[in-house]
Amino acid sequence: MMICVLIIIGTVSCDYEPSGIYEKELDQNQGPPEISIIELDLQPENDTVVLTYRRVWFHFESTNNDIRWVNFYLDNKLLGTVESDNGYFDLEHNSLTVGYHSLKLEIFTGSGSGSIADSLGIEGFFFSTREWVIKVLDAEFRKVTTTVADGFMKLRWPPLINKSPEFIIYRGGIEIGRTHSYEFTDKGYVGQGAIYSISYLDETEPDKVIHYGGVEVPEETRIKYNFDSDNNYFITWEKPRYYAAIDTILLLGRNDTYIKPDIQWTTDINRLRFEIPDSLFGSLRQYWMIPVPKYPDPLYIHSYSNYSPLASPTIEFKVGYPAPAFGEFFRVGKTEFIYHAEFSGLGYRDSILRYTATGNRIIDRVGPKLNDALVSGLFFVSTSVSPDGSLYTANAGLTHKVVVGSANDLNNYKIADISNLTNRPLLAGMPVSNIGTGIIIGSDKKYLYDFVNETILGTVGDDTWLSDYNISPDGEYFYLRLTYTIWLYSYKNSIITPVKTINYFDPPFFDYFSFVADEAGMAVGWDSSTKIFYKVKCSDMSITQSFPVDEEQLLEVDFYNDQILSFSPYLLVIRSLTDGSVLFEIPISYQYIWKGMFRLCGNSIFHDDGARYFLK
Amino acid sequence: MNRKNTLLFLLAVFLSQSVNCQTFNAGFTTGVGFYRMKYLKAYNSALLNSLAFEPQVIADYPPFFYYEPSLTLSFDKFSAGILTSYNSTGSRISLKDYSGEYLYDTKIRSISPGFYVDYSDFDFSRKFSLTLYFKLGMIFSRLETKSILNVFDMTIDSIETLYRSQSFYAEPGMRLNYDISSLLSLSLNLGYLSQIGKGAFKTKENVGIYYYSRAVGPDWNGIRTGLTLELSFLRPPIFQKD
Repeated sequence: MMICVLIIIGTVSCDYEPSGIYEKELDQNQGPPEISIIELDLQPENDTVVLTYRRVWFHFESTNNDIRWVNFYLDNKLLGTVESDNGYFDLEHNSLTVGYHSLKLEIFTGSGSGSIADSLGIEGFFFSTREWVIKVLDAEFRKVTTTVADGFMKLRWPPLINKSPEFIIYRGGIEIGRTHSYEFTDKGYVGQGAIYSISYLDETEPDKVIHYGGVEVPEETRIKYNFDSDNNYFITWEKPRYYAAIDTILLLGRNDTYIKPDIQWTTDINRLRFEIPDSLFGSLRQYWMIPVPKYPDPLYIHSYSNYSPLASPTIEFKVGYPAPAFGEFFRVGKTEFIYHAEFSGLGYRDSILRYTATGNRIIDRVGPKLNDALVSGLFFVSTSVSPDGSLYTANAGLTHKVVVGSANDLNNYKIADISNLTNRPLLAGMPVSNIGTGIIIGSDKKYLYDFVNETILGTVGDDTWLSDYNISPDGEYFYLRLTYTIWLYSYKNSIITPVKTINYFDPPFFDYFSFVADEAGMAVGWDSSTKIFYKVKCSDMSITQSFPVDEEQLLEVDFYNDQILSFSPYLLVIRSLTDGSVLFEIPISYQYIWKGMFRLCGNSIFHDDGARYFLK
Repeated sequence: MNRKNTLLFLLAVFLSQSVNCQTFNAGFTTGVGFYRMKYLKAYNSALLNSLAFEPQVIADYPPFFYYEPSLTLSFDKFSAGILTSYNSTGSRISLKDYSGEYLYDTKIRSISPGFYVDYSDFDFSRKFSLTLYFKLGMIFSRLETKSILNVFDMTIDSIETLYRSQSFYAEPGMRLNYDISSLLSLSLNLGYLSQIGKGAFKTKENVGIYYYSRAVGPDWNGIRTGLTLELSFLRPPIFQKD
């Protein structure tokens, strides 16, 4: 027995002992993954989000490593944690008060090393989303939330406790579906805006419908007008969020409310623009978009009208590169002009502005000191500018005074009293030469007037109404015009002398007549019956050059850039002032135009309604 | 019945029969036991699957040495006696990396007192003979488990638990004997132990181990191979009949 005991004691030391270690080589220097947002019901693009109390859905994706949890921080305090890469979090009355709060999300991912610490969630990467300012409105907890899933509108709502009824979904008061689940995909929604309502059938009383909740979704379909300095005009829009529900995108446009719109369309959801032909330059156009649903509701009626419930808001614009809208327009150099702003409700064209075409901006302005021109007494209407762009005159108001100022510094002006010359309540334009002399249409005659020294230089004619009049840049010539008759005068040695009377019945007659801005003693004219353009000497009206200009109307001669602007129905033509050769032809949509509608400056055509076409 | 009382009982029975025997034998067997341990191995698999990380099973109840002293009395062609067997084995689940270490060790031991009978009528030659034997007894098992989890120098988990169980066994087998001399013989044994009764593990606080709601116990089933050295003594005169 003792031997047995000894043997047993000796063998106990030969117990089995486990040994060995499984050691894993790992790369612990893993870089952080990239987090992308698959869904975040917080409008990531906005800084401030207006919320009612509701559920916030989220779904993040990590490039390499698992997302372990998402923390929600409200006002820098941890509000809650969701241990998943997707799910929801409820913002409820008991967790935040009405008013402004900050909200931030924090995402924790594994480290990707595969280590024990990584597996236990002790090692990993933290990511913070941006911080939102949320404005919480005092309203009931909004149960129904909307999101976009695979290009469709998806509604979700929390389940009922201990109940699994059939839910009825309404859009705009019309039933669009039923489900026993807690989500519904509305394939008929294309972004037109809607009010959704969810009800359910009472399980004990099948005819009883109980309202569960609802949500209002704003209209999202938007289009925008875009342009560039290459005369490219187009309508653009963002890719529709509910792209899978859209079959065709229609773009409708028109000039006039009373005409049928023209239609462009595409079935390519990734196409995000339509071009506007540059021949529409200067046209006032309306556009709207209609996304045609791929899965229309039973009550859907196809319509092109901008009143269609699916139509985007209508946009209206002048086709062209934006430019100032002007009334009177005076060139003051190659690339600048002075203009009168259009009537704006503040008064009668009571501001004069100087604009640079190369900088696309206003560089000087003068107007009444008070907003109300009637109170200030200054109208700055009936403007004229000297050809060299140094002086300007304007009507100073109802007191028969004239503003005389520097066109290089518009606010440097004086007021001259000319009540002794005229008692007209609103003075007609007072053209001024480079030396400050000009023409005043008086009560009973026409005055040649020195605006700088405020002296009368001479008088001519009587109180006959004139269709046009002007003075030469050097002040040595002036003309008075009455439709089919032009009286040309000279002013030398303080004596006004008639030079010639140009009569319609004595060709050539100049339907267009103007002094040359940069050449003393010279004028240009154009005969609409023969379509011939003439350059003449003022001293004797002898012709020094002529060439054809075949269009219906001659609109302007740009002496600074040596160009002629002319018009025929649906066509603007730019010709060389040197020889009349055609430089540009621009198709437009106008059959008739009015005087002053299109002007030249800075190698561009300006439309008086605020559009610009670059000559390239 | 505990181990001590069982051993005493067996000894008493042995001594009571010693008056009738021809020879008195004291033997010692050692060899390798193969242990099925079905439920403990399944428990290890389930533990592996439940862990967030991926360790490996380094050892899964491998075969190991056993030791078996015996006292028998020979009666013409058969012998009977008592013996006690000592068996041990264990397992290890391990994982180590730069961030820490996980270790789950189990060590299971048993002491199995029992009765022994054999029948020997198969002599091949003067020296060699074949014996068929049968053992029947109890198994007193003891299971120690140790679980350690360290992460970045922090001990997250460190638990040691001791379980015990009791069951019965039966082991038929055969022995190839070689008589070295009239007193000494060497035998090669081959038998198969079958555990009778599950013998679910319990701690002192009566806490068990469960696998899918089933209580886990040892599973000593398996082949036993070994080598026996036996000393034979003629029955002392005190025990001779008149």
